[in-house]
Amino acid sequence: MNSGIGVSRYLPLLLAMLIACAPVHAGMLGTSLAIDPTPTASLPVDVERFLLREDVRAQLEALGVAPAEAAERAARLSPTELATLQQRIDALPAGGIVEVIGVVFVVLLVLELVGVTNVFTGL
Amino acid sequence: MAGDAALPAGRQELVDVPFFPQQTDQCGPAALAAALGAAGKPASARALAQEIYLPARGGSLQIELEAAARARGLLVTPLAPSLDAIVRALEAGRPVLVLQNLGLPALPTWHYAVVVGYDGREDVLILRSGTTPRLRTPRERFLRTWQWGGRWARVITPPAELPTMVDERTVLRAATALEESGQPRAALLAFEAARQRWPASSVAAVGHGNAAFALGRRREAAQAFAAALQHQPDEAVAANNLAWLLAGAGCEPAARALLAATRRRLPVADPRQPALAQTERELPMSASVCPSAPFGLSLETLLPTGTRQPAASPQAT
Repeated sequence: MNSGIGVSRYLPLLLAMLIACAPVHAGMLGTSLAIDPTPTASLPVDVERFLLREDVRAQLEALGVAPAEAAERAARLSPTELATLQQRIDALPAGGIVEVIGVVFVVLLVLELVGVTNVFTGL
Repeated sequence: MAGDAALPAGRQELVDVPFFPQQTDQCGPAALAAALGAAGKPASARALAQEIYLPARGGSLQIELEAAARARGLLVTPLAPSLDAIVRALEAGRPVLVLQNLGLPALPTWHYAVVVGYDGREDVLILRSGTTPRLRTPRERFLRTWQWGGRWARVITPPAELPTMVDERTVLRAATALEESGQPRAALLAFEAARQRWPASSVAAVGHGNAAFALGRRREAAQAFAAALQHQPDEAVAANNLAWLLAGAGCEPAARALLAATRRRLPVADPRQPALAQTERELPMSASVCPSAPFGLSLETLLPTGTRQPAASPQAT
């Protein structure tokens, strides 16, 4: 029963959407509009914001984050941050220092020895 | 670049900043754990990895580091992109979270570390970095790796303790990020502190009002919005939000007069005009009778004669 699984899986999502769309604070404007009164500074309306968060949650999952954690992590981002991640998540620096391999290793080692880089001494 | 030329002659080291040795590609959680510990919200690097590590990227994003700190009710403030700003933060007792590129611009190796001190005599910065609790990095080398990492530097503090080395606009943006990510209590503390530090700031008062409103404290919110209007009579967000509160308290004519007066002050093409027009159309109805001083505010002061629309004013006719 694929359809049954599908509905139950998305039911919390639909409920969350209904709650997110309820015009609880309609009419109140956020402080960001007082800092920067350009149209880009205005917050996306609730529905857009919900969709944006959904996109980012899916992106985080695709990058290996467990589903429950991806939802929590997307939920605590500001609208500006959500928009940035939605558009550029693959281009943003991810600090971590992964294992350096192969030809890259040799290039970096040479540069390190002549003092240009700090991969091996920066840790 | 100006502000990078030299370290001060003396030395400064924040020895109490905790150290979490990095495990494989977990420098984000390790550096963040050190910064959070210094801000009074200890967390283990292991727990933080669940919040900020991206397995497929082998690292953590700056935005997620900031979000994890905010989720603990802390204020995350960007520093100006100069070594001077880092030095001033250290002198104020604040460790600085930085992103470095330890590789090359074309072959980046991103790394997070926490600057905890400097030694001017030896021209080095002292970092909690990777597996080294006190990495002494020559100034030139630090500057190059930091430059290639986009000169990203953040100070994490309890929300009521605004970093002293940062300007008003930067602090208000940082506090607004708390407001926008569901941390109204922390936002309130930050905006209150900003009002104390910049008493004439209308934006700080607006932020205070919005945070108070999010916590259900309407009277406090209305008073903050009114204070913002006193500092800056055409502060559209304050006028809009106060009008909304007034209408909800049964004072629809005053709300309309306030919106109309604000819209007349703003240029026709101002980007805030559509939002004010929308609020005008959707003002809440209320069965309550408008008190003589709603939320403890004097309508006479809010709507001085001359800006008041005769037809909308309760005293007119």
